[in-house]
Amino acid sequence: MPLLSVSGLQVAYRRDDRDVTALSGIDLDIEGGECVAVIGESGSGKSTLARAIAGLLPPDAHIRGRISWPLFREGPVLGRDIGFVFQDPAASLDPVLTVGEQVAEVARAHLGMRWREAFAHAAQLLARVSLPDPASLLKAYPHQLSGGQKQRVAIAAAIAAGPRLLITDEATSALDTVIQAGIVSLIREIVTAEGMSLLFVTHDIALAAQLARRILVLRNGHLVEAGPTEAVIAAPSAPYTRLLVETYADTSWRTAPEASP
Amino acid sequence: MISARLIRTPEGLAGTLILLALAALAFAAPFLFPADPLSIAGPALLGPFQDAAHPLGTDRLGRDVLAGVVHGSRTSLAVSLAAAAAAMTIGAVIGTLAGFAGGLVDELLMRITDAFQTVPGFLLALAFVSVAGPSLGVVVAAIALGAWPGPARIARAEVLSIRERDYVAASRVIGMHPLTIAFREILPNALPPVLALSSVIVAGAILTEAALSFLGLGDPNRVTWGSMIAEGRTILRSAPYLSIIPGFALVTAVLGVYLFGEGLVEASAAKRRYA
Amino acid sequence: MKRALVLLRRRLFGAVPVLLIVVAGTFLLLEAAPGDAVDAYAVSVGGDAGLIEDLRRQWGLDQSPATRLATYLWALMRGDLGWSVSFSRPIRDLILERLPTTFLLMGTATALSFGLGTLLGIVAGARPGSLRDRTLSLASLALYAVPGFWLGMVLIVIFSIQLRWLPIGGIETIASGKSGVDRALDIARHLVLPVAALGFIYLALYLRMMRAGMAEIWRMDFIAAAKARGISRRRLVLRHVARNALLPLVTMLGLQSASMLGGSVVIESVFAVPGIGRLAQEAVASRDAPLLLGIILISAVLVIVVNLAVDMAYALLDPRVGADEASP
Repeated sequence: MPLLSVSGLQVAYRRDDRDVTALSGIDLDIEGGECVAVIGESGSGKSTLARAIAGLLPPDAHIRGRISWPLFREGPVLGRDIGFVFQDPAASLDPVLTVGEQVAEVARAHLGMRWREAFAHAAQLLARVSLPDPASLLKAYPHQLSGGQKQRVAIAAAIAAGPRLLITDEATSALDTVIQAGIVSLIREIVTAEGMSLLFVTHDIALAAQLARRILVLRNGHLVEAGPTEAVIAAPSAPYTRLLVETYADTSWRTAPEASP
Repeated sequence: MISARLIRTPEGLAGTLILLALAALAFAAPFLFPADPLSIAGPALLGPFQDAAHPLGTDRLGRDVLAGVVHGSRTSLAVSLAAAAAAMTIGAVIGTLAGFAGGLVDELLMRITDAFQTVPGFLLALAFVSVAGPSLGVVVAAIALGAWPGPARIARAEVLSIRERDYVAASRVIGMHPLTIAFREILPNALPPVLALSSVIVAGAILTEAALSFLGLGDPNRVTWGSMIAEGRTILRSAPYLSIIPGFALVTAVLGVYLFGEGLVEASAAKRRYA
Repeated sequence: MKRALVLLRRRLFGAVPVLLIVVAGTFLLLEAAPGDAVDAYAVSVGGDAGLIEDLRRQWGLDQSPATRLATYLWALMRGDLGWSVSFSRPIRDLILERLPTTFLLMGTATALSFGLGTLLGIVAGARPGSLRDRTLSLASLALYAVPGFWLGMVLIVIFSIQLRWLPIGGIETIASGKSGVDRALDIARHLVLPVAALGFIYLALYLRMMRAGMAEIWRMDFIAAAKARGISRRRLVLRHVARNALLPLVTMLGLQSASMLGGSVVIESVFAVPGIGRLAQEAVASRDAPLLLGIILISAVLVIVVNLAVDMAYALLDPRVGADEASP
């Protein structure tokens, strides 16, 4: 049984007295422990797809189709079963609370820990995301950290309750290229070790190829192509995919990407 | 058009209606009640809603309350608008000078602004009126003295951000005199945020004028809502309506100004949302 | 803590020139007054030209303005605020005597308005656009439009005259001989209406600021992120949204202290409370320029002190204040 099954998903908003369709006819299955990438340019609807799956769409959005979670009897709880990492690390952390509290509060909310335990758990998580000196970092404030460090904190908070699915929405796009690589390998390492499923949303086909087993290509809210990474990259069937692949053409990843389970 | 959007918000509509009614009353006062409102019009201490000739009753000396309320609107409106205009002009000029000149001039002007903001505005007004004597012009100046620092700070902040822009550099290149640049190029663009403060200043001015009148520091030759409330204080036990009615007029006027201001903010925010 | 102390030192330095400007400015202003305290004294008490000249000389009012300003500044540095002609007492004693009452009035009014206003603002701001929010918003707007002195009189009519629950004025029952808890309760009873009249308007202000602030914060990305982490609504409202919205309110506390001092003038007059607000009104009535000057000066000092305290509090609440540039 897949972890997540999406069929016929359609999402529309009302903007300026008109109905704008952000997504239509999306079908997607994610198995346990599988890494799937959703690729598209701005306006392709990839962020909308991520948020629809997470249940983060604004209340005035019209959603049609089916999103089912066969393994969850009452549906997944956001924060506990699904972890979400946003694009802008500076905007995803509360500026007046310590980094430690923001990670610990997730543990407290979902794992029923008391504050003392939750902070200890937070320190472990900060170490898990390769941040230096977790004990003193607990008392640091977001403005004292760099962009890459903030994103690692955001990841720590996202995985704090041990979710089955990690969704990252352009999680590296706001970071420098060198930092990007570090975050990508961190995500890959965590997801592999914990057996999480990953939904990696990005515009960067090269990054997607590094992480994902399967790739979905979106354009203007429609699903243009879907399939195993090697197949999509090496022999794209849709002209749009071919265009994307050629634009990001780089011999380095035409060789087989590191096998992910 | 911003005015069309303004009317569509409930606050803007209510505020505009109230203000229009107030303005109409103020203009019509000499026609509705041609006699001096301070003159005796009927029997003393007639309660409200008892006599059609004096719908809101009369005071201790037999002066008509409704005439007082209607004439009082002229003072409140005139003083508050004049004071707000004066405060915003002074503030805009000083703020522009400070922001544009920078350096020592800026420091000095800002310290002066600090000083005016540190002294409670009402105490300053008290001191000024007690020095210059109670008259309409003095009251306007007294209120403006306390209200100009706000607009000055906003104008200065705007100027600081505008003066680095390209069209200012261009003016410098063609050799425009700095003062001309400051007041012809920069000030007009710095105005909108200052004007956004206007409704708050007008409302505050109405209340300050009323408080000054209440303490006996308003123009003694005019009837004002504040002086009516003070008059009624001596017979608060037996005739509370004399103090209560003018207060309602005050509340309505100030509420109208606030609602209008809120409507303006909503209308310009809506514009930004669709942008 | 260190940030706060650095801030304190910087602000104290800035306060000195401001105070100097206040003193010089007010002195010059009151110089322009036609006639001085001696004239007022003579009008009320009577006296011939010779007596008036003597009094002038005695009170140093016959010297040039520049000399008097210099003398005044020198005296100030020794803590001497001058002599009140109308009360025939040192101004410093007069002010110190009346100051505690005003502190009590303003302190209670501030605590009430800030505490209750913030609370109600959180209730309104927890669900922006809800019926609760809109009702509180409209009610607070109406309250904010009410003149304090009129509100005071309405409260007197209702609670002192009609219902006879509370006294009409003063700070305590005169010559009652009460002491200890009894006296405290008596003073408290007398303070209820003046505090309400002074505080309600600011309550409305803080309510509106809190709800507007919270509406702003709800739109921010880090709140969406906290929601995505499944944080409970209660914690979201209190620990994230309200906590962030509190910051501008704290700044407002400082800014409103000057306004409240001004408001206390009329409120103390309406309720016959013997504080420095009332003293200012009495000074104006008896044309006692030195007294008015002294009150203005003390008020300025008070406002500076309150603003300093508020800035310290703000620095403690907002970790970003005074921080060094974050590493890239």
